[in-house]
Amino acid sequence: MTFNPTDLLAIAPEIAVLSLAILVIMIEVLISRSEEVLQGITAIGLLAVMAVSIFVRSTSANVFSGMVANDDFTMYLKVLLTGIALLAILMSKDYLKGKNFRVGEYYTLILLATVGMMILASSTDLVTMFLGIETMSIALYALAGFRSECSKSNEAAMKYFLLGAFSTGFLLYGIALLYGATGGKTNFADIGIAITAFGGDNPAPAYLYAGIGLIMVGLLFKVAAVPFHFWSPDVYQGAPTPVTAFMSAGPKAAAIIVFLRLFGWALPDMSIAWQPILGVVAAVTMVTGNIIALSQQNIKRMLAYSSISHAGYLLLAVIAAGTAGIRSDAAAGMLFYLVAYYLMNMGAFTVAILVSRARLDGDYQINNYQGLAANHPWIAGAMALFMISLTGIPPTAGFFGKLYVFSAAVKAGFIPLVVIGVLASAISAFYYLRIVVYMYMRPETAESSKDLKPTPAWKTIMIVCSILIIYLGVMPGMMMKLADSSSQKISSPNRVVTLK
Amino acid sequence: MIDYFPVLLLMVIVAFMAAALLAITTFIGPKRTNPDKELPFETGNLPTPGNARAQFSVHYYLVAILFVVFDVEVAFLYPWAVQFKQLGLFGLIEMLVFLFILFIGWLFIIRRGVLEWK
Amino acid sequence: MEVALFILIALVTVVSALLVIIRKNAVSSVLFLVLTFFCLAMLYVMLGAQFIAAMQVIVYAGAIMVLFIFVVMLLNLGTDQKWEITGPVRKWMGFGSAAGILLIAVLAFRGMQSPTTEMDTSIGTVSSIGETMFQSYVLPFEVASVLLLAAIIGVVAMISRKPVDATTVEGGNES
Repeated sequence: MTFNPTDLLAIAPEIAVLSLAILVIMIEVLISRSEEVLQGITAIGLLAVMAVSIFVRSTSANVFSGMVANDDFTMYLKVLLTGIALLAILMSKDYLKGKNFRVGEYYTLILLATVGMMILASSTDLVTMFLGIETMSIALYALAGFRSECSKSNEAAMKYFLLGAFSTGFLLYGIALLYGATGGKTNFADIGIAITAFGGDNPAPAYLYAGIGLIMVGLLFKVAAVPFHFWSPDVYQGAPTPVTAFMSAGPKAAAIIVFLRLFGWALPDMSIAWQPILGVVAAVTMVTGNIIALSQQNIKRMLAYSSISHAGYLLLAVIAAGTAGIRSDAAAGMLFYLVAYYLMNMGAFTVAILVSRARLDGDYQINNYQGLAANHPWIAGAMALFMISLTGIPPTAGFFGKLYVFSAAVKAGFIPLVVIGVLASAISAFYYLRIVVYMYMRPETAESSKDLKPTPAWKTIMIVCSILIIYLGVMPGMMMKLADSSSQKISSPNRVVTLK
Repeated sequence: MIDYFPVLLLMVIVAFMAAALLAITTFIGPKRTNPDKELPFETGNLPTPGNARAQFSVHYYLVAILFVVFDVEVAFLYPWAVQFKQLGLFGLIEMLVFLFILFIGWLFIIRRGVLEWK
Repeated sequence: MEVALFILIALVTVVSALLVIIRKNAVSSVLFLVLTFFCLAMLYVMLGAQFIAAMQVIVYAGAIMVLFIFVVMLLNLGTDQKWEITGPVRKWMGFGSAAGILLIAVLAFRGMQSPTTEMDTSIGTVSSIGETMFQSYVLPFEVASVLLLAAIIGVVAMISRKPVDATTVEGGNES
């Protein structure tokens, strides 16, 4: 019997979000259909979950027989994921008005996706990892198709589901081969130990490499890295915009973290095989994402390609984690980057919703931003800040995120990759700053002089994101210390430390 | 392997019986037909004219998916039932949690009126 | 005896799997898929995995195949509609990629030895799976119910929509 009641404390945030999801759906179908009540409960509930994630700690070392990690790093990730869900729900508050969405289902699915993301980000076992990915993805497939009257949204759900199910097949086959090659192990730490046994006259079987490759394909699909990115622009464009914002931040963060955990903590001894492959993928992702983004006229598609290129930067941290001694630096850099990316991306999508709503046809063309600064200096200023941060120009959070990830990669000796990354960032300045140029240097049109009518919820998101981006850009020390100290102790349950 | 011999035997007997019953009716049964008797039997209604592959309502598919979900739920019950005594109270509690979460799903389906046919 | 049985079942599996993709009629493809699933279940039994075999029959050959049939019906394929790959280039591309995958599979599994120790047949029994699943794998087991809940809510949200008509939105009761 391996169950210990304090294990429950380690998954308290997951339990809290799940309970919240159940509460919301039951209120929706049993008691009230008032949207305000549901929104209030969800938002307050998520704030409570954040508090739970920050303050509740479990001393249990081996949670649920090593199924999930229990350390500060994981807890900060859960705070981040809750924050993503919270902003997505705030963003949805006024977006949903006048749309014939089923609000209860909508919020419940966002919450269930968050549960899946949390499980995924904290998993240290192939089984938990798989279930986390599936819980998250199934909720997202339905969310992508929520605009039922819109054919683009249906297309998004269909594409996302079919390709997602296909990639799950790759992932599962890879898991099976890895399980077989390591003699029946599913725990990351056990896999790491089993792999150290290979070498010399006991070479690793070829199907171990095949398994690692297939898992890589499955995870690269989830983070939308080139060449497994084809779904993402269409899905991002078709999905309701708050869902797009949620999708670009949350699932990407959860998947890249499990990528880091699996490859950095379970498969470091195989890094000679996977580091070069991931290096090529990261380089191609950074360059392709940014170059295609240059020609986009629709801001949602542009942000989709931008998010592809950001997956490339994040992959640099995964690659660096494969080198001994750099693991915790890479993890810390990734945590910082994810926080920064979340803030600037959520902010940018909020402005995109605001601008598109005021337009006649409610579309997302970049032309709509012409002359925005004249009538809405504050909104234009916030958007400019988000764009500058996405480019990675100091003094913004985006700059330090990139700096930490790139410096981890340099320490690990991947200097050509970092050079490519910096060049790709330079390319990205063209399309990010184009929006700034449109807002400040183009004359306003009849369309753009319309009042955007930002509601309190949207104002809050923009203000919070802007302040935090500047804060992290000017004083990154505290956040960095937090990331550093927590990533030193990333637990790897069950692992017997052997000196070789 | 030898443990499964009875299963194999059962399958052989079933296959034999099915074949035998068909053969017996074909050879022994009298064949007096008329046009009405030749019509395909469709629950007493007249046969669907034209192509039998008419398009279904998506509602059927919804019911089928919900069936699959609860079928999978039941699949988890078998090993639990076999191990019920050894697992003790802990096993009971964990299964109750599992079933509670799916009960929420069931309640949602009923209250949404998904299974009501219009 | 066992080898002969294995060869027989394996042969039926491969032939019926081939027929799934060769048959042009979608319904008969689906029925051959059922046969494939049954044969796979028998192979699982031969490997000592009785629980997996039972699941294969109950969930796949039973429930999933119902979905397949419904999808065939929903698509409303006429009998005259044939789906064919046109042009020699595409045919050769398909042939080439299939051969490539086969080559990779052969290379990957070339070095695999059959287990030298006696097969532990108790590992696949229902009771040993119950023991593992409800003790070491408690958390994944509970997460599975969350997954199923997400599937229920997701599918209902996607299919039973609120009516688009704006006048009925205020009333709230619908479907």
